[in-house]
Amino acid sequence: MKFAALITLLTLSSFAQEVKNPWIKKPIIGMTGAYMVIQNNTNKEVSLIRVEGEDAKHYEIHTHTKVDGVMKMRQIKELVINPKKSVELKPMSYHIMMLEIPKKKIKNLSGKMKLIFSNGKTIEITAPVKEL
Amino acid sequence: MKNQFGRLALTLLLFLAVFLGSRYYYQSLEPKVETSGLYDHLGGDFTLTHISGDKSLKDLKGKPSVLYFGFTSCPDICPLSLNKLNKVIDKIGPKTHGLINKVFISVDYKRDDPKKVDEYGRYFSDDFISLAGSEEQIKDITKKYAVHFEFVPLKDSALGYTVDHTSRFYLLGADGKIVNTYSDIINDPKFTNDLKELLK
Repeated sequence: MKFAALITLLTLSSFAQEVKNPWIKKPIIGMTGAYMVIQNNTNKEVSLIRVEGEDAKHYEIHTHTKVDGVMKMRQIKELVINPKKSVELKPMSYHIMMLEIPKKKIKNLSGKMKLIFSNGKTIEITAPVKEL
Repeated sequence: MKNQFGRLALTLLLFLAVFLGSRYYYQSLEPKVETSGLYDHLGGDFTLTHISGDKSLKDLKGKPSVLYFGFTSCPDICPLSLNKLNKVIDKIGPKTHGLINKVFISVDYKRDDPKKVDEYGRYFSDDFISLAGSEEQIKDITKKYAVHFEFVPLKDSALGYTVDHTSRFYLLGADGKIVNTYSDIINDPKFTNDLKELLK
């Protein structure tokens, strides 16, 4: 049993990219944000380039910053994660914007999404829905 | 002689009553929180649209009001801010919700109509007064309250555009005048103290 756990741990830590603590902000109307920590375990820079999922029609990578008291949200083509570093997607910062969530799904999100990286790797996650 | 003295006393009493009464009335209209004067040139009347019809500043008078400007496609700062407002008011006392006007104003006149804005506000609590407006109305109020907003195209996004906007709370006295504005109402106790003072 212990051996199996050790093997699992070794396998997880050997992933090129890892996703920790994913969550989705409970949607108010047909859109919301998804957040998580993405760890790059490789020695090379890697980027999150696309997100797909079944809850929303569109998944986009955005950033949100406050400049002189003004909030500015922008779409970014890719989210770069430096070698052996992690990037946190969190409110008022990087986030995955989920757009055009059908009305019938708003209260019943599956949270499933696929993250696609520049090195060809993909990670499938299930993010729980939480209040902001 | 006695009658004349009586009449004089009655007249004096009447004058005194009128004087004290009017003084009390005008004092009740004066802001209870000392303001810096910084906001004297800001604020003023406006008309926007609530789901139930037009709402103007005069409809908010009689109670302190908290105004927040945002838009319903806002990813996090608007929901965070409206949540924070409810939390701060809960902390002062749950009954406080009924003693003030919590007002959410969407600056996104292109996408947010009164129904959508109302649905958005009700997510946080039923007592939010959520307002939308025409281009002209939004330009008028944002100019009067010094709120920056700007439509920014997002060429590859399904959103089409976003709205850069000031994130700030405006506290208005029962007279409708701006008492102060705040960027942080959770960690900075000034908002709570000012609101408590207004409610005394």
